[in-house]
Order: sequence, then structure tokens, then C-alpha cells
Amino acid sequence: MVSRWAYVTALILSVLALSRLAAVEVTLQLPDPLVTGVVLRGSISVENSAARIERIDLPAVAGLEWNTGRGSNYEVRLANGVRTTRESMPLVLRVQQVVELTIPAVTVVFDDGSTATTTAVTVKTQVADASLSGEANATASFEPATIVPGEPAMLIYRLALRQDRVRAIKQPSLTPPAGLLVTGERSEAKTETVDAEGREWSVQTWSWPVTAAAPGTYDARGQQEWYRCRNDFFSQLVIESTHQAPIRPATLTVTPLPDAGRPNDFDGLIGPLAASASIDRPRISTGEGAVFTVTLSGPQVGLGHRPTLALPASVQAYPKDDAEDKSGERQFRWDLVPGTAGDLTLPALTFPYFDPATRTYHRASTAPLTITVVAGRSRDLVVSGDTRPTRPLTPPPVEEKFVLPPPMRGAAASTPPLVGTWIVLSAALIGGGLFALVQRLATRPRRGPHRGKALAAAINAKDLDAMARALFALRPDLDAAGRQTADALEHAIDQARFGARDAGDLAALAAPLVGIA
Amino acid sequence: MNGIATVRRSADSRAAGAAEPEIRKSLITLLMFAGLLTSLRGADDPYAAWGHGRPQDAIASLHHQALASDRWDAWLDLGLAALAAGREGDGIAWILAAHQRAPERPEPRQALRALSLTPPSGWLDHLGPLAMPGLGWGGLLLITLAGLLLGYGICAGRRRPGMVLIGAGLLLVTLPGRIAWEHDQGRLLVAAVRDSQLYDSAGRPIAAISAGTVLEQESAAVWAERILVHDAEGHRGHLPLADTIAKP
Repeated sequence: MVSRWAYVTALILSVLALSRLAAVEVTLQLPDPLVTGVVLRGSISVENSAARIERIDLPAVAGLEWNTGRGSNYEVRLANGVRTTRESMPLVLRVQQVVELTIPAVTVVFDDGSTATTTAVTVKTQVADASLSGEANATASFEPATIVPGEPAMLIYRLALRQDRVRAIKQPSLTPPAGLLVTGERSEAKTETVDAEGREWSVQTWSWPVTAAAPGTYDARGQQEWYRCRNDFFSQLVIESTHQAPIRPATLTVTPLPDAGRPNDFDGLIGPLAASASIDRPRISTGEGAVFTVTLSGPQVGLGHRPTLALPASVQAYPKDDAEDKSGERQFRWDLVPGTAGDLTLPALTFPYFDPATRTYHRASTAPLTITVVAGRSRDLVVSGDTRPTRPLTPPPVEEKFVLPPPMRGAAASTPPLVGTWIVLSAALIGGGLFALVQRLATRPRRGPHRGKALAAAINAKDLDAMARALFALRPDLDAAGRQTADALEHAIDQARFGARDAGDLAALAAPLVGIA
Repeated sequence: MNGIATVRRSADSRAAGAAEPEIRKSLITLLMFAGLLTSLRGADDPYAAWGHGRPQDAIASLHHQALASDRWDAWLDLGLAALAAGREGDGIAWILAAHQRAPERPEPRQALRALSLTPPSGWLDHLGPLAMPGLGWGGLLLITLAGLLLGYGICAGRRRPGMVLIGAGLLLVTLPGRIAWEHDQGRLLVAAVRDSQLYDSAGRPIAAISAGTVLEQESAAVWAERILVHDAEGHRGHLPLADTIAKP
């Protein structure tokens, strides 16, 4: 009985020990890059080990001097009820030359006698960046430095800040120069490096995908503002002083596309370009459809136009909407519906593009494909059970169908010219008004001769009959005083006409009346 | 006689028989002349090649006719000929040109709908039958009459309120249709004559535009050989101008 319990206990303990051992992770962390000739720092960290590190057995590696540093760091974390531990031990190392180092597994010995090993790694060493000097270093570059219009390039801005104290920037000062087209989002990366003296630098890199529409040269230059800082009590950065670092400029040269050898159907596609074609069903029946897909891969494939398919007349090709384009890829699709049986060959399609590497034009071609079209099959419809309709069938709604109208052949009634409505309306208003004015003038009552002047003229001519007629014509418009004057004048005229007397000064007598029209 | 008839040819008839070859020659000459005239007339007929089953050959002369007359029916016939020749993109562009010249006419609209295309709704579509009195020559005459009545009624020696009322009423009836017609004629509709792309101002492709797509131009300005357009699905961008110009 005792022996059985002992077995069970041993089994449980061994399973637990195995599970704990299985969770232990040992990682060798080396500085990146591994710069030759300077003393660098690395570490070996152990996660989730119940025991503490007792020693590390570093294997001998040709070209690498390394040793464990003093002290170790031990952390315990509790997150969501899960306890994790991490112990790291520093390493001091120095590589002697630029080689590819193969570092075998490093054995970590724990204080309970157990061991764990790292995985073997291969790293490449390199010489220190000679441009890193002072406190800040800013560099701009274009990759590639020479392109043709439409060819993608990358503007890379690299800012290195020495990390022997806190230095920082607010934002990168460099932006793509005017005239360049930014064709995508800016990307950002952060790394660390060391200089020839072994001092640590933080390196921030920003990259813009750009291109240019017109030939010319585009310079990226400027000054980068950076700050010496310190951490305050709350670990917030406080600026102590402001400095400027000149950005080493870069020039992008955009050369024009060569005219020689340019195909007529060149759409502006830039190489490298790959074209491929595929069909979803290589064997179909007549009347069925197969999806034919042509895929273009390369930069700027959005400039490509849907090619024209040269197919037999018996095949209907229905272009489908372009699929959602992935980055650097574009697809054209057709539904092909052959009307006759047989082997249908889909010819190769070619797309011209400019290859910047060779500065010549090439064509990317798809491979010809063959679809086997078999004669369509019909199947009789068999209906079983009671086929009488249970309720009267209602005809489906008739869909309005439009057909192309016949040609008009000039038979259509003409339409009025596009004369402004307001011009027509204004002209009509003016015309109507003018007509009314003319009518008013035409129908105005005519006036007779000036009656007062006629009276004066008759008096001057001493024509008594004419005087009497003129006075008679004046009478209707005379007031009381005028009528008295007219009576006196008439009396004088009558005396002269019928009494043979001197009429006297008729002009003086008629003076008040000669002004009446 | 008993069923036997004797025909005697008179001397005149014999003379006429002698003249028959001359008459035949004259008739043949006349027929040849008439045939020549007919063929010459046929050569001028822009529809002749189409009538003989060669619509592709008729497109150049129909295009010339449409440009010279600028009549909507000439553009419609040109578009129909292009469709018959299998040039759908060009056909749609020319039918759209006919629709723009006569937005009130049903034929271009019917042709576009037969191609499963619906031109963007204009003011005439919204007005419906209310627009009828102001359309065509009749509408123009009614507006002129309304203007004459109003002008006369206002300027006459004795005011004529009846005439002013009638003129104002006529204007009220005719002006909406007429203004809608002028507005719809002034719209900038374009059709892609070949498969193309909409680009943003940086030249990046936004959306694919297949041949025959009807688009509304937002501005007459041309920038970098591209025009600002939007389609029925709300895509908005710059379309290469060359992709909207149909050539015979």
C-alpha cells in the first residue's frame, strides 16, 4: 500500500518537475549590430525558472572574446493571476574582425543542479559606422538615387542620437522635397547601434515611398532640431537646451523615359513586371462560363489598362469588375461563355513596361491557355405527384424592357437653339412694350392749327371773315374773362364787317386771346 | 373574221419601227444617267454603308454629319452605328452626346437604358409632365407670347390687367420646363470610351472605370489632361480626358 502511494507521489512530482522544466526559456541576447573592436554588452535571460542561475558555461568561439558580467537582475511579475519570473545575467563581449560567427548553445547551470541551454545562433559582425560622431547625426538618402518618371523610389531619413545622456527630438524635420509625389504612408523604425568607440546610439529611420511625374533633380536637405533633456521626478522629459544638426542632403535624379523602342501601347508601367493568366475551370460545357483572370504584379500596376481579348466570335467575354487590388498586384477578370464545343485557346496577352535596370522597354506575357468545351447536355424534367395547380397562377410582373431605337435618319423634328430663355423673354417684353408705345403714338388725337396764332394772322391780314372764324374756333376753351374779351372783339369785327365802321385797334383787343392754342 | 385576225402594218407604223433603235438607245442612255445620279446620291448618303451591313464604314461620314449639323438625332444615329460596329464605348459616348443635346427626347434615353445604363437624373426628370409646356419650339413660342403680352399690358396707354395676368400665367406654366431643359443641356456628362481608371490628385489609382460608364463632370477645368468626375457609385477622381473622347 505504501509503495503504491510512493509511486503516485513520485509520478506527480516528476510530472510537475517536467512541466516546470518545459516552461523554462533561456535566451541569448546579443547587441545588434556586433561591431568589431569595441567592448559590447549582451545578456542571457532565463524565464520561469524555479531555480536561480549559478553559472553560465560560455563556449569558446573563434574571433569572439566574451565573459559574464557582474551581478544579475531578477524580476517577478504577476499578471492576471499568472506569475512569471525572469533572471538575466550580463555578458561582456568583443569581436575582433568582420566574420560570420556561429555561436553554439550556451549552457546555464542552476543552483538546484539543473541545466538549460540556449539555441545556437549565427550572427554577422560589422565595422562601426564611421559617420557617427558628436551627439547627433542626420542623413537623407534616396534608394535608388536615379529613376524615371513613375518609377518608385524611397526617401530614407536616418537620425542617430548618442545615448550617453537623454537626447530627443519632437519630430523629423525632413519632408519629401516639393515636386515629388508621395505614393504611400510614411514608415518608421527604431534601432540601436554603437560607434567606433563603443558608445551607444539610438537610430530612428523614417521612409517615404515617392515617385516623380517629371524629369529633373530633387534635393532633400534641411536642419534637424534636437534637445538635450533630463527626466524629472515623474520621469517626464524636460528640455534643457535646443540644438541643430545639419542633415546630410540627398539628390534624386529623374531621367526622362527614352523614346527609342517605346511601344505604342506603353501605359507607363514600370518594371519589374510579371503577368500571369489563369482559368477557374479548364473543362466546361457550352453555355457555361469560366472565369479568366489576368494578374499583373509589379510597381504602379494601377496604370495598366484592361487588355482587349482576341477570341473567336462564338465566345462571349463579359468583363467583370476588377478585384480589390492588393499592393503591387492587379487583376483583370472576364466571364467567358463559349457557344460551341471544342478546344478554346486563350491567346497570350502582353503588357509593355520599362525596365529601369536596363533602361529598355520589355513585354511581360501571359502563357496561352486552353479550355476544353464539351457539348451542353439537356435533362428531361420529371414531375411526380399531383401536377394540377392548387391555386390560379398569376403571371409574373412584366419587366419593362428597353430596346435600341431605330436610326432617325434626319427625321426628328428640330429642337430650338440654346438661346437663353431670359434673352428671349426680355426681347419679347421689349417688343410688347414698343408695340404698345407705337400704338399709343398712332392713336393720339391730332391737334388743329394754333387758334390764337390764326386769329393774330387774320388781324394782321385784315381779313375780317377769317378773324370771325378764328374767334369762333377759340370760344369753346375760353373762361369768363376770355369770353368777355371775345364778345368785345366780335362786336368790333361785326361793326367793321357789316356796319362799315373802323374796327379800331383789333390787335390790342385780341392780345389776351392770341396765346391760346 | 371567225377568230382569224389579220394585222396590217401601216406605213406610219413601219416608219415607227425604223425609229425604234433610236428610242431604245435614248431610253438606255436615260436609264444609265438615272442610275449614275442614284449611285452618286447613294455615295453621299452617310447611311448607305450601314444599310449594306457595314456600320463600321458609315461611322466616319455619320461623325462628319453629326459635327456639321450638331443635331441630336445625328449623334444618336452615330452612336447606334458604333454599337452596330461593336464599339460599345464610343457608341455610348455618342448616344450620351445626343441625350445632352435633347434631354427631353425619349430616344437617346431609351437607347442608354437598352444598354443597362441610366443617365443621372436631371431637373426634367424631377419635373415630369410639368415641364412639357416649356419644351421645344412650342415652349419658346409660349414664352415669347407671354413676354409680348406682359410688355404690351404694362406699357399700353390704358393698363391691361387681363393681358398682364395671362402673360404671367403663361410664364408660370412654361418657365420651369424651359429652365430645366437649359439646365440639363448644360450638364457635363461624359462616358468612358475605353477601360480606364480614376486617379486622385497625386496620380494614384482610386477605382477602375469600365468602358461605357457614364460619369458626371464636376468642372470644365482640365488638370494634367484629366477631368474631375464622379460616378453613380460615389467614386470621385480624375479621369484621363483622352479616355472620354470617342473618335471615328
